[in-house]
Amino acid sequence: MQLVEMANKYHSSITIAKDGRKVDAKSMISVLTLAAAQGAELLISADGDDAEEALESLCGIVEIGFGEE
Amino acid sequence: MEIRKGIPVSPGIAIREAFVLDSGEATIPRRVVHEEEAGREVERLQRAVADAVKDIRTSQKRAEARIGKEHLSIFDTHVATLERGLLDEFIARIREDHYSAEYAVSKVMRRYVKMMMGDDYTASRLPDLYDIQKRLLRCLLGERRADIKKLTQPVVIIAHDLTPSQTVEFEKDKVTGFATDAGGKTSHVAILARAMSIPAVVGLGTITADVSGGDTVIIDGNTGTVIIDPDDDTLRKYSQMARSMEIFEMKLAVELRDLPAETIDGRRLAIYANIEFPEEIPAAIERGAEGIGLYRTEYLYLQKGRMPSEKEHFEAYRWAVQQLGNRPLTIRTLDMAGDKFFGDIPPPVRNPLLGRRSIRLSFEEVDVFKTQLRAILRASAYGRVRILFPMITTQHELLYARQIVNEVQGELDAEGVPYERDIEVGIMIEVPSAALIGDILARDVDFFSIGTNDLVQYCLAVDRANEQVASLYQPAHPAVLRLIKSVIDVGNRYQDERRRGLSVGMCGEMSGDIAYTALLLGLGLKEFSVSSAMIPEIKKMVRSIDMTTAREVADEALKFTDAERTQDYLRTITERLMPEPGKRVGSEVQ
Repeated sequence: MQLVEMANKYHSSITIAKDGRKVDAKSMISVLTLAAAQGAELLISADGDDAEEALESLCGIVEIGFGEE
Repeated sequence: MEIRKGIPVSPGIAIREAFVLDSGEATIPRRVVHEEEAGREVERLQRAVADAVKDIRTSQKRAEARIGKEHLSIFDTHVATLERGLLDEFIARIREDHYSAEYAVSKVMRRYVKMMMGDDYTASRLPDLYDIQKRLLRCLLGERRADIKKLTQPVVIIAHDLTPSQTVEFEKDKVTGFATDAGGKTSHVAILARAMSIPAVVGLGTITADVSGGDTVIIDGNTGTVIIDPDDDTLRKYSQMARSMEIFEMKLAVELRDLPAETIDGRRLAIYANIEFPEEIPAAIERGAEGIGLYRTEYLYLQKGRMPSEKEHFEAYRWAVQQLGNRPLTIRTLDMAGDKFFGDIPPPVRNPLLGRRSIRLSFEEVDVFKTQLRAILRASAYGRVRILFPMITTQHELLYARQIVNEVQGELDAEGVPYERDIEVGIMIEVPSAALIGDILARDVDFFSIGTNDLVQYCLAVDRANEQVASLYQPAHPAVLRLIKSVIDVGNRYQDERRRGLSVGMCGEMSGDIAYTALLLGLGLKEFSVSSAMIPEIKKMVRSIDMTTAREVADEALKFTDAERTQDYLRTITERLMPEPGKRVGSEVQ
């Protein structure tokens, strides 16, 4: 969920995809339904003026396990 | 259109939009809408979501001003979650399952709550979800959810049950009827409705779930029927009925207002009104009340959320007595359980009805008691005021209460404050022990007032609010009738021996029920105190009876061995004596 909150710090629209299903990364509910277990492969995309920064920080969070481990 | 049956407790017909009172937490009923209404529900939902988002943004700005922009992405998260996750799901539930907007929201949210609970990590974010839900529901219900204190149009109140503290907040001229899930014939809402002369149906079980705020609802307090979203035919039928009843009542009231409450053979009786609020007095007089036989003062204690000051008491009483001219105002001192206002969380009591309440509480909180007594005495300088002590069970209690009155009188004397020295003091006879020692208690009072609701309850060991035993609550039980007879006998005997006499009145439900009028007259009752709505009918009944018949009825009624037979007998007699009752509710219900 920290990922969702982080995503909301950026203007860009951001999506997360898993197994071909793509959801809005800013919506708790959408990310929740993605039910990404540990070790799952996620594809994060961002589109907007701060897309690059957004991707950087979001990938950072995901790599360290949503910052929770 | 949906039809529900409950217990009719106050006659009349009300047709209005519903105002659903919830107990704080919004309870969302399962409600399905017609397919063609789904579009409208979606629009309602979209509006509510937009409002909720606006709401979130406002909170965000306020928080920004306080703690700066840094940590506020949580607000953006809520907005995003609402707009780009939940909204589509809500809409899907409305379109596919035809749920009402509220129900769709609560249903979807419940699913996610469950999902998030399953995992420690996500469970920690549940407060966010609850927050979103609460905000959205507030917006959704807010459309139709006005403030009960600021009603702009007449409504009928739909509630689970009503407490005295809730009812003191009503804009009374905007409330036209009540329907509740819980309650019985003697519940607070029943008494209030009769006092306000508006229809009420209780014991409906699920009415708060069946009705949504803004629905048109018909409350038929004669039959106990409640109709939700009536069709045109039904609406027309009930509107006509309501109108003709209103005309009938007005005619009855006008016809009888200035006629004495006198039997065919000339026995003159006093008919008083029971009131909850002083504002009811003008209407009571309009209906022919010759005084107030019971002025319940609990509202003064409940209204402000603190103890009322002597000034507040006094102003209410003085205003009341000034409305009455020379008619008596019988003020009952505080009659309530202590947990209603002393201390925050009351300790659970095993038998609250047998606990520290009413006069017992006044003896424990003597200062509070004295404040009220001072105000009552001061008001007695402005008209005919009587003091009525509730729930007396022993002679000692009566003497102690009188002693406190004496002390207060001494204080007023010392201060040079005027009051009526010979103020009449009476007691409620509402516990069997008091009824059985009526001759002892009679020595130190000016009047008795038989409170049948509690008397029946204490005599038969039946909590009248407990649905499981409500059918055992039988005012016509031979034991109850014998108690009443003995109290009236004591009063009438004393009238000969004492110079000032001892009057016996009755202020419970029985006195306002025409099924019992002949019986009570025959037993020798001379004062009836009833909710003002019932005055014309009781008067009409009194004027249709002669004392010989009344005595025969009383003799007969006392011979039966059980309440059912007495009840049947009284019903037959009543129909014979008054074949065309204006509106009957009392005799149909136990």
